[in-house]
Amino acid sequence: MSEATITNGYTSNERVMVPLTDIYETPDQYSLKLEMPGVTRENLDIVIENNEMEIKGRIDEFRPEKKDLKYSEFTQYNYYRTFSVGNDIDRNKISATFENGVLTLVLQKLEAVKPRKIPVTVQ
Amino acid sequence: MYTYDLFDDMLNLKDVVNSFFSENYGKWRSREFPYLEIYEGSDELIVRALMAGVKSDNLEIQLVNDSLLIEGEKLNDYADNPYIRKERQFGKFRKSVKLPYRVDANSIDAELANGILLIRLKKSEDAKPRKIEIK
Repeated sequence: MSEATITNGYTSNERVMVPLTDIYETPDQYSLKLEMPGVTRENLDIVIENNEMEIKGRIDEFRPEKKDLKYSEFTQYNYYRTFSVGNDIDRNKISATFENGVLTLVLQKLEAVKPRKIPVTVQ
Repeated sequence: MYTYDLFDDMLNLKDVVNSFFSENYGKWRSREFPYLEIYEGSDELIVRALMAGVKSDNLEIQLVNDSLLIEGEKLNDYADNPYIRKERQFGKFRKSVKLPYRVDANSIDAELANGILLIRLKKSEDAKPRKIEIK
């Protein structure tokens, strides 16, 4: 997991975590898997606009009562990452699932760009 | 045209020294999967670990003396497709962390939700302070 600072409008800079991502391609779809531990389904925000897909995940701060943080190997910030999306994606057919802290996005390719077998006819 | 220059690949001593001071070296020096944190209260400890993609079936937690041993495997969830980008890592892991005080082995509570493991451990009775009466 890496960290980055994004400029949030003109007002403030926000420190964010960039989720580790795997992207796979099959003949008819792209799938993305993003690691976002600590996010809940309700705190996830996925927006696709123009040629950009923006993924945000809000972290609820963990602060147990009457306990002090004694040892830590990580700091949690909100998650943020954008991907550029081409015109070969059917934007009405994007599915998102969230399981075990991993967000899976499946982007279907448009019919027009899917590989097609061309039958050869014998005359 | 670019010509390969052996000296480009050599480490610049100044860079090494600078990065040592600028990057927060000591802080996260020996991090290993899963990254964790420990909260300490007077009679309860909370250990939290980030483990996205690990299922509870593939996870085992043990108490060994005064250390907590977290062991398991993160299974690859997309093994057979060609990938465009690969940043995530999979495989077996094993990590042990020393606890600040002895805990009661019978009252350990572990929960895995949304990629975060949360373990609550109660302080052992014989680790609690005891007043000694003077006869």
